[in-house]
Amino acid sequence: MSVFRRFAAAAALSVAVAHTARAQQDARLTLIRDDATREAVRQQLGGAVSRGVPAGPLLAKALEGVAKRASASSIKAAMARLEENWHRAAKALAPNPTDDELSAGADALQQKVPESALRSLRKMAPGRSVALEIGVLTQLVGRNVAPDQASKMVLDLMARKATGTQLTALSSAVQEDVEAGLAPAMALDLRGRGIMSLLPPPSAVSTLNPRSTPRP
Amino acid sequence: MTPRFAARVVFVGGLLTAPLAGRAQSPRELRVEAGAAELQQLGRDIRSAALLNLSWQRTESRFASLFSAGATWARDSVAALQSVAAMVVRPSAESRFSSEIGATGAAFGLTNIGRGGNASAYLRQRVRVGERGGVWGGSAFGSSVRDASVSHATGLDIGAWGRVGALEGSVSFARTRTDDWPLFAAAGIYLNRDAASYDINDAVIALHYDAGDVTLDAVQSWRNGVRSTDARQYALFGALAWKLSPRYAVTVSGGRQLADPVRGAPDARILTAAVRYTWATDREPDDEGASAYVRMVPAEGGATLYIHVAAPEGALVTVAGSFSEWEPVQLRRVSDGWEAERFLTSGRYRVAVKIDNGPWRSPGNLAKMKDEFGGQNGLIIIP
Repeated sequence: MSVFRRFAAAAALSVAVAHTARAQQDARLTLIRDDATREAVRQQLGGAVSRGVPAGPLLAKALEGVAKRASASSIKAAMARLEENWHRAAKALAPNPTDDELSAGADALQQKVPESALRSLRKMAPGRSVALEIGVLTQLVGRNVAPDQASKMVLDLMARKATGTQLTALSSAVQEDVEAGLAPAMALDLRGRGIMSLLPPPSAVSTLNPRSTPRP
Repeated sequence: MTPRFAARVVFVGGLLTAPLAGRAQSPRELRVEAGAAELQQLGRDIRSAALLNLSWQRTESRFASLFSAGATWARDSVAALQSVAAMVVRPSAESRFSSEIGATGAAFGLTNIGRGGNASAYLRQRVRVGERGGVWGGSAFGSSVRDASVSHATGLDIGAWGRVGALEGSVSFARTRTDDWPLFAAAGIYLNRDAASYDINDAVIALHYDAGDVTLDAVQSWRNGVRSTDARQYALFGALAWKLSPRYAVTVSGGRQLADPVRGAPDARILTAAVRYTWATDREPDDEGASAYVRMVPAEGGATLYIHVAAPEGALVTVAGSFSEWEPVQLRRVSDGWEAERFLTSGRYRVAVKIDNGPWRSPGNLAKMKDEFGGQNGLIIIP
């Protein structure tokens, strides 16, 4: 196959993929039955996409607003806030964040997690996705743990190479303790220490695993 | 009032109370039931009575409580009063273990209160096995006074329950020992030699079918005397509730119930008809999603999400999430609320629950996030 044919095939495939994505987006937009709201969402979406924010999360936010019977102006405002948080997350998680990380980061910022916490997570794992860790941090803050304490615990556990399952288990355990009457800060301290006791210290980790896990 | 009739009257209150005690809880719910009954005890005439029963129940993610009181008036002005209080506690919203503790009290005859009565208590430990069933074991103790004569009863029971679609069922076995000879003599149960107490074995199969506006219950019991007790009895009891509107329902029940020495209820044949009014209170602002909780069971490539919402049959329950493009999730009615299940691959999801015209709330055991539309979402992460 000549270079020209390869190029033409790639171009045709790109057009087909873009067309399919656009068709899927249009199909999701039709879920918004109110004409005025749909048009407002379409406009907001077009502007955000031109500024580099993917349509998927924004459309999901719009559909959530529609399901919750929010007004068109509320939906537009929510989409605008999401776009703003997306850009803030992109700066905090630079240089090459994935969409999944940015989506998690935008959620975290909405939950009042400071940008410095996102920067620290990126610094701790520059070569792999930290979307799960950001999500756990957001959950802990949602369980009324102070952001500083929550981010410190997540960073400590990351330093000891805690698995995703261990991190999510920590979040669930904190919730159980809080339901049982324990203060969130104390619950996180106790449960976090419990998981740490099962993990090697950071120095041992770096000796045993000199290379960080590659980004998937 | 004769002791026999007193016991017979109190039974009617128990009839209406018992299904409530074992059945469903909504976040906060008050029920009033009023109607009429015809009662017949072994070898006695049929008597008519009026009934009034009130019950209040509250369900949270880890606690459920119930209080019920029933009164019965016969045409000759004799009456009975009975109450039940019970609480269910589980270590966490997702735990398979739950403990149930309860107490009952009864007065035989308001016109002559103090002449007779019963008090009982029970403890039951339940263990959920799988997603649709479980087993339990329990014990109970009751004490009755009739004309200054005191009797006692103790019981142990084990059982299992399960659910297939809209049909729920349970099988149980109980061993009871009592010295309540007036109650058993009235039921045709006798000692075949000199003995200080009666010993009986009971096997019970109970079925509950929920067809939306109509619910059906059936209870079949078998009783055998052991050691020095002669008894071989069986009883079938059925009940139907037809919901006319979210708040009003008509209930009809009939059949036989065997004597219950722990609670002091007599053997009797009963036919009742009543109107039930259900009032589900609005949830308080600080009760954020406590009536809904989720459970996640790890599976290949993700996890199965189970959502349970405690709400009355007439409630409009909506569950939606990012996993469904915020389209409402199909729910199915279970005995104590509404349930949905969904397989989710690894990732982050948001979910919210709405009951009637209330706000969108996070299920009680999830991390909460403001949703920017005046409500909340629960955040789920599946590693």
